[in-house]
Amino acid sequence: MNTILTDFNFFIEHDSNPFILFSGLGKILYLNQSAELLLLEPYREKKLFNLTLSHAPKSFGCKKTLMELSFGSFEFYAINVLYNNEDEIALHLYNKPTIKIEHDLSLEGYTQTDLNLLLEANIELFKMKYQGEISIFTDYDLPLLQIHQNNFSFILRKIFEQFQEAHSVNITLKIKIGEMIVVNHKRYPIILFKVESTQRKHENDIHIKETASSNYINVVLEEHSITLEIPAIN
Amino acid sequence: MIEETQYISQSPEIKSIIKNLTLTQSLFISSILIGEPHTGKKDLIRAIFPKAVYIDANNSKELEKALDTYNEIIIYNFEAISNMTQLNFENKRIIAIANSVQSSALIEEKFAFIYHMPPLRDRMEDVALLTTHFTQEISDALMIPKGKVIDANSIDLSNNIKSLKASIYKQLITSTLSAKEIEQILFDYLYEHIDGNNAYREHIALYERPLIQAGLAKFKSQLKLSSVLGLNRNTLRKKIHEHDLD
Repeated sequence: MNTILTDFNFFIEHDSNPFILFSGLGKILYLNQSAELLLLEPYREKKLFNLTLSHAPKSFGCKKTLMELSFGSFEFYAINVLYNNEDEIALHLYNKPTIKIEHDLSLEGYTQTDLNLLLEANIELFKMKYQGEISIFTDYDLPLLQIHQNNFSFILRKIFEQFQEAHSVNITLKIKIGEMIVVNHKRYPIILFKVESTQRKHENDIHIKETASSNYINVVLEEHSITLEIPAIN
Repeated sequence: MIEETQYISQSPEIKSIIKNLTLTQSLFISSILIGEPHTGKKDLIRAIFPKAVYIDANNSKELEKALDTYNEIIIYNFEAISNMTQLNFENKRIIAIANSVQSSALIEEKFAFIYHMPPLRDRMEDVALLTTHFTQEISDALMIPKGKVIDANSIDLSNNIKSLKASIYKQLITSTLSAKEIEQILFDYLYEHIDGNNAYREHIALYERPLIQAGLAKFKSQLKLSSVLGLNRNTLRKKIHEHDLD
């Protein structure tokens, strides 16, 4: 057993794998930064507590389970449930290896781009036909990145078409903290673009996936949302 | 009025198009503006891209050369292109202007940003604005006093801005003619048309019809008008009937 005496809080706080400590009744007592992102979505707290209880060891100690888990764009390959008293129980989720895109990287037609500007133009185009409410959350400090502006606009148009009949949409553009995307053996930070609503169409899904993939963009298609994970190639 | 682009419009749809084209001014994307002829598409694009290279799509060789040479091109009469799939828009700022489209699917494939220019009949707010603008412009050109009121009901919108402008020209010209000029117009017309053996009866309507119409509009009473014209009431009633004015 390791007997080093140090404060491990700092290391857990900044671990890129989410860590959550629940009370015996499911109340969150502590969560690290990665888990904060995971819990931005509603109802996940209860889901995660149920997951913790269903995979807890039979007696004090820890139990690691290998499993494919995904919460939106977060994907995990294993969980560890730990407890050494009756009042607290911890869940550690292990991130799947970084997203890998295997094509050779060709930046022909790519231009240094202010993604916020490109997104604003595409949202304005969407607004010309869309009658519902649009909530936009964007990080205006995003770095300029190399992107194929025309192809990216095609992808955005196809995505927005899927939400044409939704009463309202939420649009998010931000840096995804703690994860990288690998394109042709090189690691890049991830810019996360997400559109979500209470309903959406699905007929463009395959087209979106194909176009995004040929532009080195990972797509997460869920029932009510579409997320793009864009490599911040500079 | 969108003053920054010097394009006259109060239409919310056109304001959105201008906003978007301005936003994408620095981006390498392909856009197309589709709308009926004479809706002001080219003027709108020119207001935003005054220094771009403008190419008529009817001239396919010039278009090919421009696509090889420039990275910002405005292609007008885009509907004239038959081999759209072969055009290389890669890494260029393309703004196409089209009066119509042959295949919406191809347009969707080729252009990231697709705009539809509403016809003038669907933006009455612009009709009033353009009428004022052209009345002033045409009054200056014809050197006629300003302040002439245009009859909005006589404006022809069938060919959008072109027919609107023609309507204003006609109204302004006719409102300022002197008796001598009207006589000259009648002279030219009659010289061209009188023939046969019943020309007097055939052409007297040119004078009689507007005379009775104007009198009825002015005096609102056949009795009063017969007295002003110095005609018998029955004669006037007969003429009103002959000219289908009853």
